[in-house]
Amino acid sequence: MSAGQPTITDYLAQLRAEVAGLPDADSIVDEAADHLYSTVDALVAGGATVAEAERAALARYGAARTVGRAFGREHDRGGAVATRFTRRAGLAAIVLAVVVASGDVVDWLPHSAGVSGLMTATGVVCFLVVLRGIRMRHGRLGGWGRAATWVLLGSMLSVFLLSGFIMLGISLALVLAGVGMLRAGILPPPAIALLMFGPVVLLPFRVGTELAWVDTLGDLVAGAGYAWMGWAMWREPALDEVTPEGRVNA
Amino acid sequence: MNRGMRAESLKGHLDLLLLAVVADGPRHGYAVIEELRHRTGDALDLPEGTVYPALHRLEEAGLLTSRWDESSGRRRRVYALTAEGGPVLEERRRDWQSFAKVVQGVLGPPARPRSAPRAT
Repeated sequence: MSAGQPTITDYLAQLRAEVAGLPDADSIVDEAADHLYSTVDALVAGGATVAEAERAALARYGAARTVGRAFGREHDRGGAVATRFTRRAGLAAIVLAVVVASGDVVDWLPHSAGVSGLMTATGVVCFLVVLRGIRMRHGRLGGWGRAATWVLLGSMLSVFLLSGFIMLGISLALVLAGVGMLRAGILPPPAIALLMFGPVVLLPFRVGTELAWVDTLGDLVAGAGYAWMGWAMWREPALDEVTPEGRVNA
Repeated sequence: MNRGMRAESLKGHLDLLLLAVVADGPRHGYAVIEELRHRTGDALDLPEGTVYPALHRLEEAGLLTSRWDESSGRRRRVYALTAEGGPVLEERRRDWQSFAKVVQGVLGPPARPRSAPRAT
């Protein structure tokens, strides 16, 4: 290679710098190395000189920054595809919306302990399915998702020290995750905003007080958010959906 | 359709194209991309390095699997279709063929070229 022309070794060093923050950076660089050297081998076998082959291989592969950004976008989005499971998680979110929104009504009914228990169990199961579905649909949330995870874990541990922090921590984690989801732009922003309403707007009313209307309002708004998000996830065609033959998917 | 428009159309179906190439048998990334270039007649105008995130996405979705192979002297990642990927590919292939049939039905056969008017 002539002076000034980057070599494959230089390129791989640049690519490593571009993907340094990703967990599979080593694999990305190894795969790029294999591709580039395979390209050089093929071009040299076709009659090119090694210098020409390296130049052509690097030009075809793309600038390190371009490739690095493509990996970064995929990493931040994770799998981010709609599947049969994410559609079912959308249904679970709609059921959860009904459970959350009607929880206060059920409590007013006489002899409601059994129904209330059943609804709580249903809500917990649906919530776990919804969380898993959102994680699969969204993939990772980048730095916002990592911050939300650390805040949530920290607030869980703080229950042994100051129990008041756990509600603040959970609310903050929800806000951080919500901002990540808004930036990703995959699920409807109004649904995300409705789910963040409770932590952002109602938290000051909840801390240190027991206002029934605050809980009811929070439940109704959260229910609307879950329903909206669930409907959006349910409606998406699944990548792994196998339907009867002959149906045209436009 | 000019080359630019054709390339953009192909990019939108990249996942399907990659599944179809890997369906023929396990291949490493370079071989997948070379086969893709060959089958599209070089119409897919993408930096080759940006195809790898799509392969990783398909693996994360459970439609492809990969393993590292060091028999060639280099660390090489080989992709293969999973048991789930096969039916999905067939479904997408049927969808595309049905769609093409519907569109062709509307467009009809290519128009005959008009003969030039005779000079009198």
